[in-house]
Amino acid sequence: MLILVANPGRLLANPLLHSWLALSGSIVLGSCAQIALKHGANTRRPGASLARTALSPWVLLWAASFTVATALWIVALSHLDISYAYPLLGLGYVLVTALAAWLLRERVSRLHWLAVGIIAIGAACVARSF
Amino acid sequence: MEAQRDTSTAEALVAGSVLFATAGQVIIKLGLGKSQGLWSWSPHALPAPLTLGVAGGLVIYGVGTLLWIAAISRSNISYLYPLASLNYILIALCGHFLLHEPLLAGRWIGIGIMSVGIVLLARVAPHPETA
Repeated sequence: MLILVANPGRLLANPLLHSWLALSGSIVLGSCAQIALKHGANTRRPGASLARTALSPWVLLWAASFTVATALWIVALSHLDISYAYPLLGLGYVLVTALAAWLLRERVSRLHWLAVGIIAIGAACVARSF
Repeated sequence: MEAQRDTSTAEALVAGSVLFATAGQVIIKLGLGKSQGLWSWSPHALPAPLTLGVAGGLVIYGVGTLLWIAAISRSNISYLYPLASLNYILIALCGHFLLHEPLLAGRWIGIGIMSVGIVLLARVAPHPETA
């Protein structure tokens, strides 16, 4: 680790770093995709046709983020253990809850935050097990 | 009686969805073993998404997702959600026994703690549409 920090050239060429960045990107984009889809569903005009709903900007944003998140997930898996990377996708529970409370103004109870906090602690244990 | 039959159908669908999701992820990982990753374009290796293993794994994972949607349309998501956390345990077990990944204590403790959080989340999150 120290060698990598002392040598930026090697750090940038490190496939593990690419995988970590890809995994983080996949978690963040995957969560944003869910928020976009939910916002699209919330703002859908009653009685709108299926085609119109599927082509609305929010649903298209969901499809694009979901596709990129899946591609990033494949990049992440190419250099990380699956028993390491897959549990970290669970951080999506934490991020989606926070974004829903912030952007969609959903009410989140204290117990709900506690559950999300426990998931975050578990994810931190997994993240350290390298 | 009707509700009970619906619940056991939903449980079977969740079991199917967990198995397909796990198989899909493991097949993607196995498929990646032969490719060089998405970002290294080489004339000797296909880009990852085009290899049979990765594409097939994604399709199998997709079937798991469809089974999950079928399951939650039949029973309370607050009951089914904790069952889906079996995914994490099963994928970690496959990682160790099929892909020979190290069995690290911190990883298992972390997965256990996350499962507790997911069970609690399912109990406290409101589900107005199924309540």
